[in-house]
Amino acid sequence: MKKLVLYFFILSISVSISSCFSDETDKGQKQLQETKLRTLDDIRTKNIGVLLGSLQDEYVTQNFPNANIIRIDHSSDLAMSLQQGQCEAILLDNVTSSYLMKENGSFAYLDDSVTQNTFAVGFQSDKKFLQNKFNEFLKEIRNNGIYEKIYDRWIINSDTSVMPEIDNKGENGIIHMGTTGESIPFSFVKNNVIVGFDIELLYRFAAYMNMKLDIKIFNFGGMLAALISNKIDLGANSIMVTEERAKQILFSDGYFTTTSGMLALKSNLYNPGESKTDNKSFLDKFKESFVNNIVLEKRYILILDGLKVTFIITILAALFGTILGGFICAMRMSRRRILRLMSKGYIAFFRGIPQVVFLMLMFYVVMAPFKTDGVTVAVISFAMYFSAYVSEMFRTSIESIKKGQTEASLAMGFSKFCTFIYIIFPQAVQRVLPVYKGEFISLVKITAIVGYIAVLDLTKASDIIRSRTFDAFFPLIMVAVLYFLLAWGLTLILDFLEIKTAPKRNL
Amino acid sequence: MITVENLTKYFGNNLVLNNLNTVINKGEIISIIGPSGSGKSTFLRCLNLLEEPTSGKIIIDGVNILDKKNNPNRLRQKMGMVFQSFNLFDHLTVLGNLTIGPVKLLKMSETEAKAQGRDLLNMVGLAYKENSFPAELSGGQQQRVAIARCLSMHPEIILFDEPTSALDPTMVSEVLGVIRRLASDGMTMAIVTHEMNFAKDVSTRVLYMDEGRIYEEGTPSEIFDKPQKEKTREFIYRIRSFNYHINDKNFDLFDLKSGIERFCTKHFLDSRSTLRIQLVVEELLQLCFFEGDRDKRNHHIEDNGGLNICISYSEKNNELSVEFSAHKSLVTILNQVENTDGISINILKGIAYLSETITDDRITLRAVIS
Repeated sequence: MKKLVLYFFILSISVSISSCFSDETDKGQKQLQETKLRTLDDIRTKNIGVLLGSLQDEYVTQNFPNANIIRIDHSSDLAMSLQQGQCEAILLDNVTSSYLMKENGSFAYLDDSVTQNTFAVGFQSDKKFLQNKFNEFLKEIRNNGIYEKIYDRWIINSDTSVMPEIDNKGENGIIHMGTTGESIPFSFVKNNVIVGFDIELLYRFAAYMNMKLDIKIFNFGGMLAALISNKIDLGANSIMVTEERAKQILFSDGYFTTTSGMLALKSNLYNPGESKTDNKSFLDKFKESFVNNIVLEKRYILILDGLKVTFIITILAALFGTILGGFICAMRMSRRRILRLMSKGYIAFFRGIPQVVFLMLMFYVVMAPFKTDGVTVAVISFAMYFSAYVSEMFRTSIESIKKGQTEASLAMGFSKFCTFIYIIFPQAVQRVLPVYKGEFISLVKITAIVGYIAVLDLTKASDIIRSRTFDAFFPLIMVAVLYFLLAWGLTLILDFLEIKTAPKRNL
Repeated sequence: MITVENLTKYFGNNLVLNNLNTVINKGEIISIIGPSGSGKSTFLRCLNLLEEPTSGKIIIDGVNILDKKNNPNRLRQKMGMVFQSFNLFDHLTVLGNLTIGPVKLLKMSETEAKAQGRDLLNMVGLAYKENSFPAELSGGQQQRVAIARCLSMHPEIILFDEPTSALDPTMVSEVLGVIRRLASDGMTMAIVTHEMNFAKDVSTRVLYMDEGRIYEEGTPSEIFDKPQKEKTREFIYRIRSFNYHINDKNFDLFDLKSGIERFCTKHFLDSRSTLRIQLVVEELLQLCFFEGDRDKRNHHIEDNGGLNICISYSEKNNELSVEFSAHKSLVTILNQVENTDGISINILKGIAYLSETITDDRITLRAVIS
C-alpha cells in the first residue's frame, strides 16, 4: 500500500513538472491576433499584477480603475503569475524587470516607462537620530564617489560582484536591520551570504556610525511589522515610499530612483521584438533548473539549512508540546473546577486562532520586548499550539479506557498514581498514537509559516532561491518533495513506536 | 476479621445501604444473595473502598479503614477482588497480569513472580495460555486468570462480585470449579452471586440482602430450605404475586379481573390457569359476600379493614395460589352455608385445594390451584 502511494506521488509530480516545462510558445500561437497587446490602453480591463502595497499598486489603482489588480508578495511569484497567464501584464521596477527578462526569455516590455519610483530606508518611528545621520551619510557618499562605486558594483555589474571589505570597529553598539533577501540586486543571497546594493549601503552606514550591523531576514510584510513593533531599527529592501507606509515609518531621503515598466508575455505582444526560440529537451531544462536552483552558488546549503531549521522546530515543538499537552490534559481532567476552566479556556483559545496569526502575535507583540530570536518564538508558539490539540487527544484516549481497568488496579493495591503509570498510560499511548501521528504530521507542515517571523526554514529557503532564479516551479516542487520525505520519515519513526507499544509484541 | 457497623451509602439522594451490620470471620465463605438493586455489589465495593461509604465503620483487624489517615492501598493488597467483567489488564499478557502486582507492590523479583504466576496458572488450568493476551481468551478463561491474579497478591480474603454473571452458561462451571477449589483450601471469601445451587453448596453462611440491609441470614439450609421471612421466601421460591384490596361488597369486579389478567400475561401463565384463577376468585367472592347473613358479613368486612386478595405464582415450585385474608372476627371466609345449592363450593373443591387458618388476628383462606 505504501509503495503504491509513493508511485502515485512520483507520477503526479513528474506530470506536473513536465507541464511546467512545456513550451510556452505553443500557447502563444493559439492566441488570436486581435487580442494581442499594443499599448497600455489594451490592458485597461485586464488583469494587472503588482507587488502588494507598493507604489505600483497605488499607481495602478489610480490609473487603471477598470483593471483587475492582482496583488502579490514576491516579484518571483509575480513573474510566475504572468507566465501562467493569471495576469496579462505586471508593473515592476525596471531593475528587477531586467533581471526577470534575463532569466526568462518569454517576457518583454509593453511599455518600459510607466511611472517613477524612489527607494528609501525605513526607520522605526523613534529613530529620528539615525534617520538624520543616514541622510547626512547619503549626501557624503554621493559627493565623494562611493555611491557611484556601489551603483556600478550592484546595478551595472552585479553578476560578478562581491561584497567589498568594509572597515568597522563597531564600538558604538548595534544597528538591527531587517531585509528580505529576495530583492535582487538590492538585497539577495549569493553564495549563501546576503549581499546587494542596500546591504552594502547599510554596511557602509554602520561603519560611518561605528556600529555593528545585525541583519535579520523577514518577508516584506513581516519586515514592516517588525519596524513598527521596534523589533528592528531600520529596514532596507528597495522600499518604496508610499503615503500609507509614511504614516508609521520614518523614511530617509531617496537613495535610488528608477522607472517602472509594464511587462507582458512576448507571445501576447503585437510587436514583441526579436524572439529567442528555445529548443531544449525536457531533460535538458530539468538539468538546467536543477543546476540553477540547487548547484549554483551552493544553494543546496540554503536548502539543507532550511531543512535543518524545519526539523529542529518540529521536533522541539512536538517534544515540549507533548509534555505541555500532558499537563493541560491533567488540568482538564482535574477534580478542581478552576483548573478545568483554565485548561478549557486554553484549548478554546488555540482552537479559535489561526496559527499564523498567533505566531505573529507572539513574535511582534508578546515577545517583542525580549528580542527573542525567531526559532525560539516559533518553538514556543508551536509547542503551545500542539499542546492544546494533543491534550484533548490524550484526554479522550484516557477516558476511552474502561473504568474496570482502574478499579482492578486499585483493588489490587496500586495507588492512583501507579495505576496511571502502569495500567492506564500504556493503554492510552496505544490508543492515542494513530491520531497523534496525524497531528504531528500537520505540525511538520504548519512550520512552513515561520518565514513570517524571520526564520529561515525550508519554505523560506525556497522563496529566497526563487527570488534569485525567478523559477517558481523547481524550488516549489523540490520543497514539496522534501516536506513529503520529512513527514514520511517522521511517520515511520512513529509507526515504529506504535509497533513497539502494541501489546502483540511478545508473540 | 471484618466487622461492619452501621454502614450507610447514598448515591445522591438514593439510599443504597441502610445501616448495615455484619461480621465476617476468618475461613468463612459468605454468599450474598438478593434481588438486583438491593445493594449487594455496593456492599462488596464498600468493603475495599472502591465506593466510599457515606457513614459507618468497617473494622479490619481492629483498625477502622474509613479513618482518613489509614492508607487504603495497603488494605486493598490484603483483599482481592474478582469482578463481573473480569477487568484483566488488556495491555499485558496473562503472565504479565499475574506478575505486575507481586513485582511492583510486593517487591518480588521478576523470576520469582513468574514462577509463582506459572504455579497459579497451573492451578486454574491455564498454564498453556501464559503468553496470550486477555482479548484472546474466552470469558471463562479470563475469569480464571482474574482469580489467579487475585491469588498472586496472597490476599487474606477474596471478594467475588457476581463472578459468573457475564459468562455464558457453558463457562459458568469452570469458574465455579476454581472457586470451589479455593473454598476447600480454606480461603476466606465473600461471594455476590445469582447461582443459588452453588451458594447453597459452597458457602458457610448466606446473607439475603434487600432494601439496603441484611434482611435475613443463616446457614445455607436455613435460608434455602426454610426461609423465615416473606421477602426471602419470595426470592428463594421466585414468587411473583398480585395484591388487591377490597373494602366492601361494592367493589369493582372488572378492575380486579383485568388486574388478574395483566398479572397472568406478564408471567406467561397459560389461558387455562388464567381462567381457573378468575373462577376461584369469583366463586370465593360470591361465597364471602353474597351467601348466608350477607349484611352482617359485609359490615364485619367494612368495619375491620376490608378484604385482601393475593394471587401468587412460584416459579420454582410451579405453584399457583390465591389467598384471601380478613380480620378474624369474620370467623370464616369460605362461608359454607347449609341449605344452598352448593355449586360454588363444589366448583372450588374441584379445581383447588382449600385450607383456612387463623394467625394472630387474621383469618386466611388459601386456595392452591392444582
